[in-house]
Amino acid sequence: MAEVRLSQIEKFYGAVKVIHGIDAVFEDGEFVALVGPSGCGKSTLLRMIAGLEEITVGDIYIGEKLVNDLAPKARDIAMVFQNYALYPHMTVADNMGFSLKLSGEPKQNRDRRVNEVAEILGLQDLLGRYPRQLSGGQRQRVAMGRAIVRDPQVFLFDEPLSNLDAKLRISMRGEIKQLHQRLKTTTIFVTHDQIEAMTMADRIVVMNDGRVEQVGTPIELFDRPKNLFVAEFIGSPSMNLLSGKIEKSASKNVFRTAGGESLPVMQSLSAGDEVVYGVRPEHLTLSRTGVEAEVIIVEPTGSETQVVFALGTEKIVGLFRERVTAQPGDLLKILPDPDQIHLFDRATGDRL
Amino acid sequence: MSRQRSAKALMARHQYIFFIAPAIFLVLGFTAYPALYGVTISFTNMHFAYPDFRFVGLENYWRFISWSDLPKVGFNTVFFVACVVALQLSLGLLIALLLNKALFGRRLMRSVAILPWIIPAIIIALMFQQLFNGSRLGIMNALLANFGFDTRSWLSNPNEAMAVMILAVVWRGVPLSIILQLGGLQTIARELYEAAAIDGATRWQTLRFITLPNLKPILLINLIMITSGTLNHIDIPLALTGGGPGNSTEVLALSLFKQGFQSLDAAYASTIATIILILNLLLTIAYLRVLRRKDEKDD
Repeated sequence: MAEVRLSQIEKFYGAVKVIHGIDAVFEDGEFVALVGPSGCGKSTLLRMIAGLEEITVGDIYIGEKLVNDLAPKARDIAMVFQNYALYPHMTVADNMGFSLKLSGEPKQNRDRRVNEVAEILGLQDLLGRYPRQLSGGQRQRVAMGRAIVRDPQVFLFDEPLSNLDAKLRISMRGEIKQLHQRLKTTTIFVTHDQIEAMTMADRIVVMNDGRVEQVGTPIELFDRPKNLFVAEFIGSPSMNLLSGKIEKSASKNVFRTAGGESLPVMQSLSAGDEVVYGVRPEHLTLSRTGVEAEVIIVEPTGSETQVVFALGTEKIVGLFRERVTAQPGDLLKILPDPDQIHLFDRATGDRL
Repeated sequence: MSRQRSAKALMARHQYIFFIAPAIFLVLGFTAYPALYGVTISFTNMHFAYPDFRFVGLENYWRFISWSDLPKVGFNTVFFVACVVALQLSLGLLIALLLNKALFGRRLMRSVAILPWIIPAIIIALMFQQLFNGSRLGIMNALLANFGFDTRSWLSNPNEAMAVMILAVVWRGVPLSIILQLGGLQTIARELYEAAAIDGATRWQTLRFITLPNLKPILLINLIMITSGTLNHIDIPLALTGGGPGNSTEVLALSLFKQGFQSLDAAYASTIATIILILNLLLTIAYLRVLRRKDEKDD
């Protein structure tokens, strides 16, 4: 196991700069998720750590070793690819033992190690099969097995769950997390799915357009997003973001939406500030003291109800634990929890 | 009414037959029928100079087996086919591997590499005749002379004539191997190479454990195509050496041509053709058996 350190990493494809000076430290034994929308550079960054992509500027250290110029095999890492990249002409056992075979490990040791890992992953009965004879979930497990067999310092996962159906994805999520708790190997996990990142990672690196927007634990990112991008990206359903102004009303600061509705704020801001007001759907309550909003859509899921409201000219989503029996067109009063409000500078997008 | 409807339904269900029937008739009429007719002729004494012919059983086959030149022609054929197969397949692979790399000028090189394939075989034979002309006018001899070496009578020397013939056939065939194998190489997922790089494979190990096994189906098709193509190949041997000097470069296909179109012995030519057909089938079956044995076990 080892720490991974990125120092001022930049990547150019020709004249196009896709990674803009990233600094990050992934602690020894930590599970870190790199998350961001498609094209934000997260896979490129992972591939640079793996040695599959050249680093244009900056340094990458794995442990104490500078690995910029080391071939992938010399970096002591293992990678699980999005489409698993299992060798189609090899059995599960051969796929898993391939790296050991290449390193000249005697067959007896190889078989023992493959069997040990197969047992961890429940693959014992599949060792003689070929990848084409396996289901998606089994292939995924074999790909992980191939990585584990090598006992590397760092595991790199490149969107490994995106080819699985929703149900399997959830169960594999749990399996990977459990595996990490068991092996305690430093793991860097790339995903575009913020729920995956939130549920699995110790820390999350949110990326956008080749830059790191925020690094933190899932709860930190959820509770205190550093800017509008993180606020919108983390959390499902997304945070409601309303543009407006801070106004003084009866010696109290309130937020006035563009449509004229006023919502409570607790911060001591100067009146007149142009801000973006953020409130998560789960932090809205139905209250007699709230502001009136028209129900547009009601989506009950059983455990909770999601309601889309029209608040003046803006749409706002609420997520309620209680059963909401309202119909589209009804007027309900909603109140944001004043302690759970996020305010962002409208010009810079930064948290206030 | 209902009968009419069921006839209509039947037509609808089987209408694909109308689309494939022309192709089936063409294949049957122009490939299967002549091939089978050729086999039946081999059991007769048909000769293009005589109008009548009769059934003679296996007489032509006995004649073939007891043919005094058979050992020589048989050896020539095996040697010719084996050399062409080995060289064309391996050169094709080598060049395809190079062209598959992101090298400068790769597109131009791909186009250039394909050129020999579009030149008619007869022209290639004549080109090689000029290249390896025994006089000082031959380009190879001119080169040798320029560098101070003795000139050679390439096509008058049995071994050198065979070598030149193999070279000409390989030169013409390599582009097809390149196209096929390059296509095969491009279907191998990049991630497999990346996974192998992370697993610690050297270049040689990557070729051996990743590229070749994944290219195997294409190599097998190419192998069968080269083998049967070379076994049947007639234009270059005929136009380049004509089987000479003596019969040192005579291969079975050339014997077939000589019997059928010079001696006009249709029955004997058909016998040789049938034997070539059987050889083709046997070799194809053998290749499939050997190379697909493992896959069959897998499924």
